[in-house]
Amino acid sequence: MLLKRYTGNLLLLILLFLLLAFFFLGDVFIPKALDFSAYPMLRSVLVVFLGLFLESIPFLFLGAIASSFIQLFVSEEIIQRMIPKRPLTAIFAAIAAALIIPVCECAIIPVVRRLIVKGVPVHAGVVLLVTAPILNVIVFGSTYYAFQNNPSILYGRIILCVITAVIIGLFIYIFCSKDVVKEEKIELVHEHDHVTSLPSKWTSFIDHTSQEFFMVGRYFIIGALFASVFQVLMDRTILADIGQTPIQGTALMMGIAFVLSLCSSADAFVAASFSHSFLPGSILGFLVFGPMLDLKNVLIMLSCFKQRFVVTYVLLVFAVVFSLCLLAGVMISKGGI
Amino acid sequence: MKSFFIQRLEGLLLLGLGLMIFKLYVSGHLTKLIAPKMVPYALAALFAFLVISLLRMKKQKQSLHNCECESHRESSPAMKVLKYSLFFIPIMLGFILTDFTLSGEVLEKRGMAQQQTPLVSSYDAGKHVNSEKISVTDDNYFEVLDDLLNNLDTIEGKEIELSGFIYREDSFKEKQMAIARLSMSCCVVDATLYGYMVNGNVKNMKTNDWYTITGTLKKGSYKGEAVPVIDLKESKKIKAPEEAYLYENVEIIQ
Repeated sequence: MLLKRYTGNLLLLILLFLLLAFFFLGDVFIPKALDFSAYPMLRSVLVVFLGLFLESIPFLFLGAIASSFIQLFVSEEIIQRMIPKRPLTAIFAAIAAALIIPVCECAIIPVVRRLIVKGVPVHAGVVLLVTAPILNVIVFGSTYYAFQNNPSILYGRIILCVITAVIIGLFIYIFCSKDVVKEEKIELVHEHDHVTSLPSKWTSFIDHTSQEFFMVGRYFIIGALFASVFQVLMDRTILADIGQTPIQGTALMMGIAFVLSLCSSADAFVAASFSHSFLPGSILGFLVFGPMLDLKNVLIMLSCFKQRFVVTYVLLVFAVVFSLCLLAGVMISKGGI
Repeated sequence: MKSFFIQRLEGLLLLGLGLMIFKLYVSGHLTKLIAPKMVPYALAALFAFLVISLLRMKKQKQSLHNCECESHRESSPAMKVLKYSLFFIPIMLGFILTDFTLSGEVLEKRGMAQQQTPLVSSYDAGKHVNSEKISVTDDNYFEVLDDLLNNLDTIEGKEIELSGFIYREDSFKEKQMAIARLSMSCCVVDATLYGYMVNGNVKNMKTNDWYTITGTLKKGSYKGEAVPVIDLKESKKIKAPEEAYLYENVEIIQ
């Protein structure tokens, strides 16, 4: 026991020393030993990965904080009282909540999981998952600027997002409304939660935030690594030649959105760079599907929800968004919306 | 005891993440990875990481049974350490990388975005086309591009001066190149390439080098789209600027 304690501490000390050594000297010695300029592709993958990581990490952490806050300070009774009983009302309440909450996809997933654990019905939680990344002012703004010549993209994005949320919410309500959250143990652990005094609540808040952050974070890192490989290796100029028909084009754009894993407030500009080679319906597929699902947030979902639920959710979102975008494409080409 | 080890390991990793952000920020590399508008979030995260890291280092009395949400299920401590070690990837990358540019081959796979400009402020449309000589700066880059695209038929013969790096695609002829800039709206992941096609004696200008060029404008095409094209008159090699990216600063209007 004693020995074990010392090896642990020794290991930590060594790690601390390594961290500091790399902090001070990492960029002096390593680039000489390991010349990244000889491998421009590898360097680009690493740079893109680090960019993605730095962009998302504050929001992942915010999500962990919000989730711990709900866990420790919001009681089941409050939630029971706040959530409307009727499914359709609950769905629209969730859409309204998504409009107010200014977070994007990385932060919302752990929060939704925590809400479901606390007794929010699954259909309302899923609606929050679908709408929160798209329905906020920043995303509206960037979509508006990126598509100034084509306002139907902005309206289409908002309308399709709401319709998708309603359809998915109802489907989940009817077909799979329970047993979706991974590790029910969390609840059990906290049932014998006799922490009542404020200082110890504060301590367990820190505890919880940190654990949640590391649990979600490691899935995120794996997702971000995959996404940055695709980011660098995918030849977008070739893709553009394939995507002229509605069906292939839309499927392709949704696929691209999935692997690129862009943040929802930035994807509009990237979509705009595709706009001369894809139809408006396909562009909508990119803009609506991307924020709801991509490589990094499927992995985050897997850290929070049961596999069966994640698979259902992915297939459902794909099918609904795909068909809606094709319909919207027809309407736009007829001069609608 | 094991969970205390994990707790301190988490503290150490948070410290590492904080130091990584700190190092990138003070060395000025942070804005090569994320846009200035995202920097405050990163700094807030830095602050939070350091605070929580310190708190994690302290031994907590009831932490043993309090919140081991997942540690019940996972048995092997080695496995756990392995999972945490994933976090060393970004930390180490932040410490050792010195060159944060995307390579030319990667850019070529993205291609230039021409048709739409991410114009984020209203300006006098036509202002730039009407002046005799157009000087392009970081601040008016998108305004000028937008103006030129909207007035392609009247720009013939106008003089333009701008800086950027040389960009080429396989399909470019010997006397063709593009003078390009990268723009980001959130982070390097969404970096988009904007640029002008340049015709002239450009054989000796190396791809990825930075130049300031002057030339006259005319209407031309890039991948079948009508775009402004520059006939090269003069060029001067310059050092790559500190702020290599253009930033699309979306502000909420009204």
